[in-house]
Amino acid sequence: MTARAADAAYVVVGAGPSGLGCASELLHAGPVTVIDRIPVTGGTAGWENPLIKDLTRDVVSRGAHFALGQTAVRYDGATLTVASPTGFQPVATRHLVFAGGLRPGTPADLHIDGYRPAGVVPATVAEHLLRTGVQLWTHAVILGNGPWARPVAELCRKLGTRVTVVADLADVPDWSQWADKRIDATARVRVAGRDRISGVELTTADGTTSLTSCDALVLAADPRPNRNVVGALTEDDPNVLFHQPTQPTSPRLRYDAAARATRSWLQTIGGPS
Amino acid sequence: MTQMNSSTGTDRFDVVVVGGGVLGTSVAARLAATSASVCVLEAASDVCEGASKGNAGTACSYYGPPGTLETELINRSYPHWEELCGRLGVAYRRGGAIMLALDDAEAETLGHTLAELDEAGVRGEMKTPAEVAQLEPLANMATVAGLWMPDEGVIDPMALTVAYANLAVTNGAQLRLNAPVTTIRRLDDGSMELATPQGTVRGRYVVNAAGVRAGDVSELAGGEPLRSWPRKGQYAVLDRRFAEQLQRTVFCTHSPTTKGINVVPTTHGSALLGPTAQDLEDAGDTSTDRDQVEALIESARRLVPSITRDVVIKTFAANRPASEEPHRLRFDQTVANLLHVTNRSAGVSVSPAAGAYALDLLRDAGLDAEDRPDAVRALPSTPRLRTATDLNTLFAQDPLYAQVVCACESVSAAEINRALTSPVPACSLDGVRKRTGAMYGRCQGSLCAAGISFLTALHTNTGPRDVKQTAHGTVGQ
Ligand SMILES: Cc1cc2nc3c(=O)[nH]c(=O)nc-3n(C[C@H](O)[C@H](O)[C@H](O)COP(=O)(O)OP(=O)(O)OC[C@H]3O[C@@H](n4cnc5c(N)ncnc54)[C@H](O)[C@@H]3O)c2cc1C
Repeated sequence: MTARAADAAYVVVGAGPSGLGCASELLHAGPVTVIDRIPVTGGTAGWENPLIKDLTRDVVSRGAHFALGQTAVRYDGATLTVASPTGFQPVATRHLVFAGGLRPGTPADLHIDGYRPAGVVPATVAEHLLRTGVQLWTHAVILGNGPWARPVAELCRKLGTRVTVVADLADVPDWSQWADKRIDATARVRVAGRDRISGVELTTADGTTSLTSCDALVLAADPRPNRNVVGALTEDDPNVLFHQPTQPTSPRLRYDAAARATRSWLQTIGGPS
Repeated sequence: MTQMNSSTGTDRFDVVVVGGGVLGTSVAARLAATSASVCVLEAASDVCEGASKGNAGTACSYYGPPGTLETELINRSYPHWEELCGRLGVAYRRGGAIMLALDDAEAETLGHTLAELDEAGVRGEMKTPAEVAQLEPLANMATVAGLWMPDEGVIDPMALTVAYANLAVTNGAQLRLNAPVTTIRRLDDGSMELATPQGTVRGRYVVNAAGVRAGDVSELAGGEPLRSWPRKGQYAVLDRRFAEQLQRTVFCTHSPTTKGINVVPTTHGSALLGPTAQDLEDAGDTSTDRDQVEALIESARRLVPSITRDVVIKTFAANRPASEEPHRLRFDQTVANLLHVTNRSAGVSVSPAAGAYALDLLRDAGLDAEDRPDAVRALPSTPRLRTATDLNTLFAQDPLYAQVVCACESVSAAEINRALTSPVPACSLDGVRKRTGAMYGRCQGSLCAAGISFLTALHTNTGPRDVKQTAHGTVGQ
């Protein structure tokens, strides 16, 4: 499946549930190439997920071309430059669908004050590192309840790290199954500690500040679309569709939502090309 | 001429430079091209950890006032940036700057600034609002006048500092990291012995390039009390998706007390808004706060109204070494062989000439330093994936160029590996960022920092827990 990326009427970047949903719908309109940085389909849903296996099989059987382990780098409206182990390839396409998934909010996105010490880690990075099986921290504060919060918390706890979640969890009644403590989201967050994080100062809307000591702050709040193909960053080209919703979260529903969004986009750009 | 004295375990050098910022490394690079032996002692685990990593990277043609040594050194530096940066493989762009006057009072001040430029022999020209709009379409339309300074430029200050250090080491300078100078002893023969956790070194001359801590070093050496204090500057970094439209640096009109908040396009394609100016007691305070950041964005919007909060991808702060003597390149008044090299606000801009000037002073004071014809003058170049046009040639050079690690900033594994294996290699994730720009973009490493952490661990022989995230702290506890 890691063939050279082929020119196609439609190129989908991202082979997660959303990308697969887009591809499935685009196949009714013309040839489709799907590209992903990682060498498997599924994105955050995971390639071993039986649903992902089914959905992948389905689009493959219907003729979708996959270029996996390849990174879309630049797009100029007619050609997408793709980097792969065999070099840089120009892929001609008039229609680009970007389903590159979500990333957590950064300190700037979240207006975090204070220092930039070691131990402040995006949840996506924390998840990768924890999967090496090493206990990295003794007490991690997880900021926010984006899709990474629970998996990171579970990995932390499995390795013996205590977890405090700072988020509004009113509609997450089972939070205590994966975190040791919760604190409601606050108006302000300030990182304390210079060389290494020593804690987070949380200030509520009425101005009360409290310090929670920790040796890691995992940023898992405010999921945002990840955009990184130069030339396709903003929604000003009608021939580029961005599909990176924060909701729904289940792979099945994400797939369906992507198919629906693609269908209406195809109508706006004038149907099959 | 490096003399080793193995009997005492003390290494001897002609010159010991304290501080691996842009000034210390520039002086070391210049000295290393001569017959003199040189050693740099840096407190942190990497070079470029002080003010030199937290500045805007404006390579000025003028900072003012006229008639000072600083102005003279800027004059000697700015015409040569293309040549120097070409040799060192550092990004530089002479894009010019426009200083905006938004009312008549500011226009009058601009007139004074133009007169100063003339006096200093620096190019400057008054522009009408229509001409301003042509030079920088994003500039505020409601300007009264603009002062155009075509020789203003921007540089990558971190890459510059690392390049000076690489050049110094390539030409035989010794660099000791994690080596804060804790005591300085003056010996009978006039030389000085400096103790650090990485051993003791002896120097016939000591260059004090310790930035905001220069006062401490002077005190250790028994030199003059150098009164200086940290002046914090906070910055906001803008996403390239907005910043790449900016053509020029946009300065506000200087007030008598401050040079104010500016909009500076970086060589990375981002832009910086700042700096604030806050005098502090604590040199280690590099914290940011939301109110200051909001205020500086508001100020920047006076210059470029289309800036919005949502294109801010990062905020940071650094401390300038403020002092009654904002620029110091002279011998100590009491310790004859102690040379102070400090600069508050234009250290990057003076750095090329400061290295040469320091050498002149040392020679005048008796240092025997012949220029070596065999000294290396250029560093091997590392092409950048982000700016490359011929990608196939790049791939032919190194197939790892097609392994894109940081997608936001288009940084490849080839560039990262070079950063991890250069003469002064990155030893932390932040060290990789300083050298390559990886993790500097809108996702701030959310998608690539794990990969970079693995690469860094590999090269530094560490693991996921003890790989360094910054120069000072590890990823794990
Ligand atoms: C907010 C801000 C904006 C700026 N903007 C610009 C600009 O746009 N253009 C420009 O030209 N300049 C600018 N400057 C100024 C410029 O950054 C400084 O002048 C320059 O970086 C000073 O370099 P340095 O080498 O003297 O100091 P530093 O970079 O601070 O280096 C000093 C080094 O000495 C080390 N050290 C200290 N004590 C010891 C010890 N006892 N033993 C061993 N090592 C020690 C420190 O660890 C540090 O690495 C700005 C500065 C700031 C803070």
